[in-house]
Amino acid sequence: MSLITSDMTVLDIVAKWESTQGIFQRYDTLAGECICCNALFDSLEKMAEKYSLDLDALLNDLETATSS
Amino acid sequence: MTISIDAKGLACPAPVLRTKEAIDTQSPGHISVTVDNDAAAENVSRFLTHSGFEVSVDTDGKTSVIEGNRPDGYVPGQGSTDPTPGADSDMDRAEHQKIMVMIASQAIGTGDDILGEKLMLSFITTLKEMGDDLWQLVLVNSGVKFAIEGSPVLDKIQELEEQGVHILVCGTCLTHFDILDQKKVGETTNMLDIVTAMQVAHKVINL
Repeated sequence: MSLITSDMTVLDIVAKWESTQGIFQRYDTLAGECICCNALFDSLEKMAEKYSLDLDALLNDLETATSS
Repeated sequence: MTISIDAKGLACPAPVLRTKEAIDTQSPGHISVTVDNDAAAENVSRFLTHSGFEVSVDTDGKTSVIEGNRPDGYVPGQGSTDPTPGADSDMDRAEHQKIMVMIASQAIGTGDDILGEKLMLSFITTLKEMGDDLWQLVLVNSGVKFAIEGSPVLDKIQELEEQGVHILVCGTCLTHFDILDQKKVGETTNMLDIVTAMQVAHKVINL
């Protein structure tokens, strides 16, 4: 069962799972800017749409980070 | 209880996380957070505002001190971590449109300034007819003057606020006109809040 869902905000996630910060930093390059600076209060879904990111891949990477 | 956090040298999301942890564990009535980058200042301000604090920011261009005061009686944990102004009432308005009206001048149209001002006053007075579809009224540039003491439509805007419309007033604009202390209605806001709210709105009307 997924712990992280697309309606959670970036802040919800990094506050609960510190290890996910590294994932967002990896995606900064694709986003073209610092996600945690500019989309901290956005839901994952909204943030992924904003930066044209692959939401499923992002969710998968975040899930992996929370379980490692 | 007063808490001071030195978050200089920390990149996002660390300043917000430190602020959140302090609020969650100590529930302070006053908090002071010092940061040294614009993104951290914006995010900490938004987070504190959403957490029920009245926020003021003092900056020298390099370092910003964000002061938050929370009135007695505030019940923590009633909000989400989505600080989009009005997010908490989204469910209440689920069956309605979310219309944002942005007013950026004292007059509607060009050609005759006196007529334009009359039209704008009439427009603001008539806004209530949008009913529950009117979600946010954003005042920027000289539009912020409608939110200060002596504004001919101050009572109309206050009525809208009482009816649940979120009134956002540009803080940079109030400071520019040196009327920050004269504001009588609405929440002092920043461009990040405005842009975020625009994304959420179903319709944005610019005047």
